[in-house]
Amino acid sequence: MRRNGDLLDISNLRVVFDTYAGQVKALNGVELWMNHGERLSVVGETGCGKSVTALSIMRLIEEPGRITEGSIRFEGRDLVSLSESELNRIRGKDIAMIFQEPVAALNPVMKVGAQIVENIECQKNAACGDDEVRTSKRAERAGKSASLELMRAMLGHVGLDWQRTENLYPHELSGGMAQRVMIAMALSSRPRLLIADEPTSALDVTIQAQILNLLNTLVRETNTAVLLITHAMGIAAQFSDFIAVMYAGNVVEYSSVESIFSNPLHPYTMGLLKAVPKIGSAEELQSIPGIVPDLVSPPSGCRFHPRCPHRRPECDKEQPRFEPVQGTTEADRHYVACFLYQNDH
Amino acid sequence: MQQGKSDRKDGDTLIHVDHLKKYFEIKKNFYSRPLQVKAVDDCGFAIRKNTVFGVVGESGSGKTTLGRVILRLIEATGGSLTFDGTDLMSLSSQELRLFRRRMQIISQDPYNSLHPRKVVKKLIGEGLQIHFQLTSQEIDERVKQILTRVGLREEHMYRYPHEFSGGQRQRIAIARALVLKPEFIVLDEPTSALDVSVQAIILKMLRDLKRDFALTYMLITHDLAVIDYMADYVAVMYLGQLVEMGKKDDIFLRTAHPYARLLIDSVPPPTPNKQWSGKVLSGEIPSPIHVPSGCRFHPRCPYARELCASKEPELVELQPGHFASCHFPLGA
Repeated sequence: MRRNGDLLDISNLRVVFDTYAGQVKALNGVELWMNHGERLSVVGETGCGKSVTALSIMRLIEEPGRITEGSIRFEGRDLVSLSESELNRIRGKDIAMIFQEPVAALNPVMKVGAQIVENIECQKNAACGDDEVRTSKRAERAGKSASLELMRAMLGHVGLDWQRTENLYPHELSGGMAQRVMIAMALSSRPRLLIADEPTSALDVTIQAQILNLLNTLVRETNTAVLLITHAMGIAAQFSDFIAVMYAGNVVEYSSVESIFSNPLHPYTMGLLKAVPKIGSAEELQSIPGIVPDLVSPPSGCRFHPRCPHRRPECDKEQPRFEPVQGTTEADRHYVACFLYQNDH
Repeated sequence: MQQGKSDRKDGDTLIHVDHLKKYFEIKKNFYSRPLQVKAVDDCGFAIRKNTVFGVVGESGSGKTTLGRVILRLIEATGGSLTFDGTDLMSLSSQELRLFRRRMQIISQDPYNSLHPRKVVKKLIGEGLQIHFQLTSQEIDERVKQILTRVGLREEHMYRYPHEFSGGQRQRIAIARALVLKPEFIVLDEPTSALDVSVQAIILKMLRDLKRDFALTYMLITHDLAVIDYMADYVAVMYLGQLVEMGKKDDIFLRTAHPYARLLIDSVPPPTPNKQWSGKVLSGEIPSPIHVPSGCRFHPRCPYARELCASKEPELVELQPGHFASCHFPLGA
């Protein structure tokens, strides 16, 4: 099957962090792709590399980390090879990001309205800071009032009353309101891809539901693609079209939501689904034996093999290829990296 | 209020709480008059021996304060509190010490609840020294026993907390509580800081330990799925008060209070084919300093009527053992 990622196509992405304890091999050949307007959830446990993947797309991996191999194609352009100033034209404009701690992500000494306006102005000048476009005073004023209008409209879209909100400082906002402000800011530039890194993990369930519903409505209206990073299977199940399961720096399974829940193939995915408690289910919880490996000296071959109940002799020798499952349809796009499903073994 | 009355005669009651209040005073600045934060406002319930009593609510609902007041880790402002027939409120701190062994707490964050400069043996053995005055050898023995019981090994005895993962630290915290052979343990968000696969291990272990040691738990969490997996009885808290309480099935299947219903409905189910209504509770939990008039939930309640804004509903028994404080309970 031809893999089609006309918006984003990550191939063989490897990221390492050089630490005193040794080199942490955080991403070990990540494969991930999505089309325009699709909603993809990346799920996995702490340390599996889901946030590093998101930061790599924004090219926000900082020292001591670096991308050693692979490509991140965004609408055909490889983000890995772009210069900082080229990246600044993409960051926030074509690809926007929202974070787990919205209050921490906002500037504490600037009113939220002004922060959104600043962001809009930056995007308008394409490369903020670098080469500010000089315009006449009049044009500038006109531009400024347009930005103000847009800011107020955006606050309205995210369910906030601009008159009450625009003059508040971030510390005066509740977590839910702050995340709404972040969403307003992120979507004000009409990005084609929105990366949401655990956007609701710090919020209560009722607020979480509000924010996710809001996000869902807005991205549907504007046909924005969403890469949602989460550890909660419930959120992934309800808010995405596709799911990628990560384990120890690899995407081990990728598929449509329906297919991954009804027919999980990778032993890690199976274990993960059985470990999630569900309301109204009498099923006993099952845990995955063993612990997450240390990525300074990760297990050889398939990184899941020491914990795998279906382990075969070849599993510790080489890394299984990430391949489409036999008979999967274009709609399901079910891929898995596991020797159990590779016929030549 | 009449809550708990039907349980009072019950000989199996371990904890009995009536009209329990905890008000905190805060001052905006030095000169201002103190404001009262009613963190726990008139709560009453009974916990039976060998059951799991789940307390669920959003952040700021007062569930953690409730757990701490029950252990007298913070002093209540008013109300009564008995533990196995003894009035805990009237005990002096010396008398209370005898009871401390029998009631333990396991808190949310295993990174902050373990002393970073004490080895595991010291962390677990300290309580033994205080309560049982054992010799070093006896302590050694007991620590070893309990470590194997919670899935750790003997060699872990001389390590420091930073050498362990989150799940292992929570095991140490559990061992520390269990080694004193308590009867009652408050579990305050015991797995919120852990990944789901580790959470599954810890929850299963807590269940097994409850069976093997005949324990009674008060499980405080915001995670309804965890409550459903663990609890026998459930109390739903909102702004310092219990709005609904009953057997687990009463709460999940015969929900009476609109807040409890909306709380349950706002959890996205982890299966895609089960269509999630996505019914969303509007607004946010109000500040406990300025509690809304009448029913505290009325500004957010989709079913609120005039009466709700003026008259505070009482917690009444709808069915035997099933309480709710709502003027217009669902399904009535």
